[in-house]
Amino acid sequence: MPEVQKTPRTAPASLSNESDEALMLRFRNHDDIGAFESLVHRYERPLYNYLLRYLRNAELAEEAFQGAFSRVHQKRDLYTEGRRFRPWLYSIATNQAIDEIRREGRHEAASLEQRRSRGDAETGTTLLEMLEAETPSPYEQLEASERRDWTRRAVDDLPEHLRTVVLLVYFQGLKYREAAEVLEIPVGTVKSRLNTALGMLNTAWRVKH
Amino acid sequence: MHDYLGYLCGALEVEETTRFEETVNSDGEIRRQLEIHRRAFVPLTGDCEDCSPPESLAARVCEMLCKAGKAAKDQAG
Repeated sequence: MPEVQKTPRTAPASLSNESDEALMLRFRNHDDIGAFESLVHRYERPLYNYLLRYLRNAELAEEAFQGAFSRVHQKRDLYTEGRRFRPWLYSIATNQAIDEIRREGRHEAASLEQRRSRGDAETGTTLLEMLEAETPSPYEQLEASERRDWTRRAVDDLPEHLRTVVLLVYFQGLKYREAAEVLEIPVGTVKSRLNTALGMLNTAWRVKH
Repeated sequence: MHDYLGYLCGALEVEETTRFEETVNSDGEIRRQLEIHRRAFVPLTGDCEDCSPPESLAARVCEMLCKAGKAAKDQAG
């Protein structure tokens, strides 16, 4: 008997133009599961990448992603009208990531093996694979790979309160105000933390280069 | 005091961005400063690409939560 191919669930196209807040309210007020699914799909890539950078582990990032949306699902009644969805979601996801770290006890012990399992193929790219690739040149790939590794290490080495601001504002593109909401700190503190973090990264960069 | 870093990483509000761009367009010194501040992000540019999420991550999460939601409703009803 042939195996039945399951069609993957995707977000309804009709909801794609709705704002996050409108979708969340539809879900909260009318139990509109399509609206919830649209949010999960909309944030699949950005939130997963945030968690991956935060946790430095693909498996934990996936668990945290699932956990974050599980909380959104369970706590929908706590979402209040007028509240911005993105900072609320990132706040839940950050707490979820912290829980994952506590549960696993792996944060400080992020090993080279874990870095390799981040889910991006290039980290595990072999020299042979680079040589076989047509473009860019193997030298350029190696250089890009080294540069990426340096950046990741440098960001990982930042103190936690600075690193989180860099992940939210620079990598996730959150507004200062949104990052302030996620972290429950004043906007001025977000700005000063970003400034300090960039100062530290540039000092490290100059030492390296 | 202009918030060059906030502007460069898109952290300003829409109206702040508009105001800043108006200043940039009319002031050569601000443009020059903007280019200098742009260099502050050089150490981060090595890791600019996002990774692909695991296959069907969103779909799997939706399916799991919908099942859990239905089960909870059945239990309550």
